[in-house]
Amino acid sequence: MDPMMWPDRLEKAGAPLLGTLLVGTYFSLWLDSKIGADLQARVGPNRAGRAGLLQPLADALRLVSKSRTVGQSNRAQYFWWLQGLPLFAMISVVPAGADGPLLQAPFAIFAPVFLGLCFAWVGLLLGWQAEKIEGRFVSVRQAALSLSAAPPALLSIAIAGMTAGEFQWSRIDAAQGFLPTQWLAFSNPFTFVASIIFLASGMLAFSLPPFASSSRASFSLVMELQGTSGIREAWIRLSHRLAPICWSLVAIGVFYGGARLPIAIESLIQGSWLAGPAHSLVLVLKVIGLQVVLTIASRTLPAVRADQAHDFAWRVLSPAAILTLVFFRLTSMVFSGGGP
Amino acid sequence: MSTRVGRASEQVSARLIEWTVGPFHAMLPGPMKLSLRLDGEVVHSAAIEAGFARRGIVSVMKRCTWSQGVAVMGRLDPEAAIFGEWVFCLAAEKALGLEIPERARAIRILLAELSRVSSHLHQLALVARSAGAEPVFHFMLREREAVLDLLELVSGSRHSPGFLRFGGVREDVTEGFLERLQEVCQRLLERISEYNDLLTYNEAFVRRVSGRAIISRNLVARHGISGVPSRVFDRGQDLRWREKSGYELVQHQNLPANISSGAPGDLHQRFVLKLQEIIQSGHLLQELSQHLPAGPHRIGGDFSRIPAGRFFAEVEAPRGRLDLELHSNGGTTPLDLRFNTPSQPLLAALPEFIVGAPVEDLELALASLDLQIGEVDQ
Repeated sequence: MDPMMWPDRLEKAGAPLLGTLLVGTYFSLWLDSKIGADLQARVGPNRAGRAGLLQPLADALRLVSKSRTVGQSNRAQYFWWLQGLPLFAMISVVPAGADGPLLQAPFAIFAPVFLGLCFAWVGLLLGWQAEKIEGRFVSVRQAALSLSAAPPALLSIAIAGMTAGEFQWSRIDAAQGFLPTQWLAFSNPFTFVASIIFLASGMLAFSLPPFASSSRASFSLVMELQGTSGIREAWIRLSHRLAPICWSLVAIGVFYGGARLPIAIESLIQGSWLAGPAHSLVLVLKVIGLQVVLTIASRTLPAVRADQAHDFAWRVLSPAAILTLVFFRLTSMVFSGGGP
Repeated sequence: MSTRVGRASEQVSARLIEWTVGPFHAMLPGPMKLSLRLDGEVVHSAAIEAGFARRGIVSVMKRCTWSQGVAVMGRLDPEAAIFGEWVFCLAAEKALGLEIPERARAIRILLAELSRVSSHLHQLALVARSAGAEPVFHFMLREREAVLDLLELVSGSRHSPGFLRFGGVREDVTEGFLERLQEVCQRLLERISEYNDLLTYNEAFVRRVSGRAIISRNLVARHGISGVPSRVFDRGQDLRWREKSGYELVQHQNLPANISSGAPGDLHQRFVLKLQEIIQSGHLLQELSQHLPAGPHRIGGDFSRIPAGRFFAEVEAPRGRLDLELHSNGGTTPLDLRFNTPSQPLLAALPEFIVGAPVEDLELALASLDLQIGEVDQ
């Protein structure tokens, strides 16, 4: 992309992206605690604001105001900020709005998966800095899980790209519409299976329950072991919440209609200042919907061990993705009446 | 220390990692130090060190009068305090030659079974939490709260009833207690099926725990482990259903002879058996609350001195068999006490039990052991 185009791209795609990510993250945090409490027969947050709506903000303020009690090595301090790099890189390639992601390139739809991998691998370095053994184990498990999640994720995106005809965000976006029947996930059985595989891969890649052996074996354990608190802990928690949201945005962009609005509304607001917020609103609602589904799944299922999660990735998800791709190609060849 | 695998020409050397957990760690069942040697993520060998929660119960008991001793005995196992009181009272009553009234016996059984349900629910909740099943953890604690409410209603205390007396119980049951007990039991029995759907027979849970954390028949025999781990192999290992145990008042509800899922003595079998015992206790409580014998709840008399001698009593506590040997010189305080608590053999078997377990399963395995460090450290 021409560097001279960047200010224009930032204006058109940057603001909706930032708005979608922050609002989506905020509400997914609130919903996580609310739904989690409801599933566990608890009241949940109800003090900060109406229905505890300000609870994520209160938690963030509490985190920022905490001070660190245990010292850290210099190397560990670098890794805290280093994991921001793949995260920001990932943000720049996720679609948020009708204009697609900040970075438009051929095969760009695969980029978030590779950057998600980088994100997990920086986590490995971070966990390796932990002086306690648990931290090392947790980080190694997370990095290995993200590696096992990458092949099925890439294959499922490939199926969507092949259905749309190209591996570019703009083409994928153009192949979908506002109604669920016009989404790629529901265009044929293969993309539907691919969308499920992609979501499961995301849960694996970021070690979300049930693919974490227990709630305490999550990445937050590493932070506790490192004695991290204050703004650094807030940053780590935010980045570990942002990464799955980015993954959700990719799933929505690829399989669930992206930011498409009804054609009538689209033509009405085209070119006006309303276009950005309207598309962001659609994305936020879809992100929240997806997070609700994932939260219910992760909160109700008992956790599995890392080796079981690996087995699931290598023996179930990857073969399922390969078979889906093969049958999709065969079916499309049969129905198109010839070879590719 | 290193392990070598393979032929001499192409050896793989793996250094064992040493990891000391505790004495205070969320994973542990109480204050104790667990020194592990790990081969990768698998426990290669383990050593334990206990004694961090020593309260000197025997020393305190020796300074207490006989009646004061009942309350102190409740501290033996804070999760099921009534059993400490009960075994002490049984031993003293044996010395005094007391035959307690039927109503008092029934009230003791009511409290004991409530404590058993509470203790089992607490332990299963810990297993559920360790397995990442947070909703089941909260549901089980919710049911336990209802049971503790009942204990509070009858004794005034949720955890340390101090309710038993030589010759009976402190007071008769509170008005409305029996009706509420029936309600709670009915609800509990209905909800057990929810737990089964959510966790017990959930494919992910069964796959995770089947064949894991095994307490084998051999381990049970060598360490003298009692309670649920031994009953997995032999349902007859329950003191409640033996003659003169006091449980003649109720009909024995037979448990299924086998558990179809899991490997012999594994975590899943113990989990299922505990749930079955909760159901059994629920039915027992319902039956007893409908037909509570009439009569006095206590025998009066002066029990400030116990005849000289050694007296033995045993009860089936939630964790297993609780034995007490009471020494008296005919004075106003006990001369000596010796306990055999169910957690002692479990702790002795722990290093052997966790060898081969992956680090990820350690918390789950330790939670499944149902170990009360307070009982060991006394």
